Amino acid sequence: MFCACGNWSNEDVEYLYALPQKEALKSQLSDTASTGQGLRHDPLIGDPVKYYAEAEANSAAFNALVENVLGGLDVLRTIAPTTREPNKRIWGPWPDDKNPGFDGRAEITKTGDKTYEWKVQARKRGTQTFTTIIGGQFVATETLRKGRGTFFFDAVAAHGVYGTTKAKPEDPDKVDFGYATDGDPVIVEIDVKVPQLTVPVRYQLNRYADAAGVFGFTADGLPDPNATKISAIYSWNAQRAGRIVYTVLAGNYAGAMAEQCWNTDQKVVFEFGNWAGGPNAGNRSDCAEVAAYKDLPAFPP
Amino acid sequence: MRALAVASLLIASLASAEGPTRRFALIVGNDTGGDGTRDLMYARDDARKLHDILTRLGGVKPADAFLLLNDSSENLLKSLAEVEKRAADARARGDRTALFFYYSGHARDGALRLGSTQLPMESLKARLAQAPADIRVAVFDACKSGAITRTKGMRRAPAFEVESDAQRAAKGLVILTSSASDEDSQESDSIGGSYFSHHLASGLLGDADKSGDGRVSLGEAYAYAYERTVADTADTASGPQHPTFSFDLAGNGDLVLTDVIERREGLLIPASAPAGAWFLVDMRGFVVAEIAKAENAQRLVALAPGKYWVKRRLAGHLKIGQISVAAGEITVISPEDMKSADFSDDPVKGAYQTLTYTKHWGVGINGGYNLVFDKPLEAGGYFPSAPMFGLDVMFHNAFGRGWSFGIDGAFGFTSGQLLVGGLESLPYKYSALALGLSGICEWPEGWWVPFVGVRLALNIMNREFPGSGLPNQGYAIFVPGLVLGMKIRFSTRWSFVARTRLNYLLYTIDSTRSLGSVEFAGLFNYEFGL
Repeated sequence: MFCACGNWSNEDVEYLYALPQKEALKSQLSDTASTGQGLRHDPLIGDPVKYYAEAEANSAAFNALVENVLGGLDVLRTIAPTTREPNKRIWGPWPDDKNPGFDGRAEITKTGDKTYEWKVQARKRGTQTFTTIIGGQFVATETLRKGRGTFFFDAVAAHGVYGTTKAKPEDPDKVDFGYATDGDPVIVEIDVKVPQLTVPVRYQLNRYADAAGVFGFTADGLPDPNATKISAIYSWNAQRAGRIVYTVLAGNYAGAMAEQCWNTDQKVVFEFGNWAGGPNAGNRSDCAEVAAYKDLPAFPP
Repeated sequence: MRALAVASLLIASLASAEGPTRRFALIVGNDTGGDGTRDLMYARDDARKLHDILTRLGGVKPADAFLLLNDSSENLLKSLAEVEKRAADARARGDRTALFFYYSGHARDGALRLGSTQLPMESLKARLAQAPADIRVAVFDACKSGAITRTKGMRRAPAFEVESDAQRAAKGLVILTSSASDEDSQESDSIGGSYFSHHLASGLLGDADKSGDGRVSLGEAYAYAYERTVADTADTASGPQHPTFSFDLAGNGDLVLTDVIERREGLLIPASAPAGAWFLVDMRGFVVAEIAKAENAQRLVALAPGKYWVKRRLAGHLKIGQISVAAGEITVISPEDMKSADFSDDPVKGAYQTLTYTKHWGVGINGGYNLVFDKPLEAGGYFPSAPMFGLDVMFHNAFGRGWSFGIDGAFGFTSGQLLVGGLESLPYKYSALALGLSGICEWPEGWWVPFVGVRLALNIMNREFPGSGLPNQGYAIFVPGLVLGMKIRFSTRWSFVARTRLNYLLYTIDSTRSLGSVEFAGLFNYEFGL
């Protein structure tokens, strides 16, 4: 007589909050440059567009990684948990529409006070064992949405379950994420492990509440003998004035550095290259004040 | 022939030479008759009316008057046994005794139908015939009740031949029925009762006092009720209804049923007032008495203290006045006190009364607030309190007078902050749809109508968390509850209703919790006929 049905649960909300929010972890660099103003199309001096274009392309890659990995969690926000246990929520198994013949399963476990572990698994229908494809941990330090966490995407495991191969040789084997959303800036680091490189490519993001930010990447073990390790740091303030520093950290050109600044009107105000014959225009003092990159704090906190 | 009838009907007088008479009354009214019968609308009211008259004017002490409403045959017999015991005790003390039995309700296939129970009329008659009272008067207002007077041992006589000047106290049984053995006994919405009981009551209040001695005898009352019942039912769809009168008596002397002058209380219609029908209606809309005023004859009607409408229906319009009868006083109505009114403006008869006591619809729009017995969502509760707006449809008197059935729907919404995990405040938007079925018992007499009932509702609730990326949440559950309220009429069709619902809300998702809510609402209500 009093039968009840539905997904009305305060605790479900708590568990779902343990999952990382993809929009909170994405770089805003592409948004900043998407106006198409100034820098690339109206350079003050020289043709520095290649620096920015590289940064933007890497920012897009960064966001794609976040989207592709965390997009797999969206399904959990559309269906109610299948099983509610003390300190645990389980979804599935459910038929994986994107991969016919396979089942998905997800689980979030409250392992301690404000500490959560989660994983998304898959199996071929008819088999018993689920393989973890995506998994992570989260510690709520300030609110349920603000804390520190890690997660990963195991591409090798995914190919093993689905019986697929890489579309491209340079596709990653595994991607590890670390993030801290309990301070300003939000800090995200991604290590992308590709077979061609012995050291994962590291992407770094500082994302400030006032829209300022720092985005960069470091790649090591590159095949070019002149630049086997490079880094790019792209910084901007709340008014969108910014700076790019491109550095060769190892290789024949180790120590080479290129730098470019632009103002709030998106006009290049300073350009410099420290190699012989490199660009040197404008005054560095005209560069806007931008933040230095802050490293990801230790996890668990 | 007339002399023969007179001789056989003369019954002991209350004030006979043999001394005072201890009177007992068992009054039974039952609107329901079980399978195969349709609920009556006014049987209980008729019983109440007779109970009031007999205890006020008929010499029956309230302690000696038993009133059974919608009760069973078993309890009727228990009450009859108690009356018999008291009568036997009184008789043993040397009192002369009289027993008045009245039944208004269903009768079918030779049995009184009291709800789902039955009582054979023959056995009841035999019981009354043996009852330890010197004189027993039984009145049956039921369909085909005349069958009880066709049996052996009783003699039938037309009431209009009753004579009241005999002096020798009689002993025995007298039976009055509202209709012949092959006739239905009819009720009327316009008079708010059965024709027979209505006219019997009017007669007992004084209009049947043909002799003008201030007392209404059994013979006068029956003759009056007979004449008016036949006249009123002559043109009805069911055809004329002929009351019957039978007796099994020894002795003579007519029985005085009511004394309308002893209390010196009521309404006096002066001799100079126009002749014709005068309706006396109480403030609830009940026709208390219908007086056939004769030319140049005053008429005293022993109304109980209170306020009444007095109404006359003329050819093209109404004459309406309001009077107040005080305890121990006689109010004289003056024709000048009555104002003319159109039939459509009749405040005391017609639409109001029909809507009140017959099956009809009511539609209301409501607004209210549902207060949930749970901690606030800002502190981690589950369901918020919220304003509700909706529509009610009520089928009044669906299961008998005062027993109504309703359906309702309401929508509510609110917004706020939900505390999650003790850390996070999350904005939410809440909405709720409630669809309910109600069974209501209401007391529709008068302008203030209290009601209580039960309700079962389907509550469908939804909440969303804008901008959070979280899924909407829903919950649907059947919610039982109690209903309590008061309808305040401010016209014949329009009313305002103040209503409270107490609901039980079971929550089962995160854990099992018994929650509840109380809903306060006000409705503007419109009622209309079928």
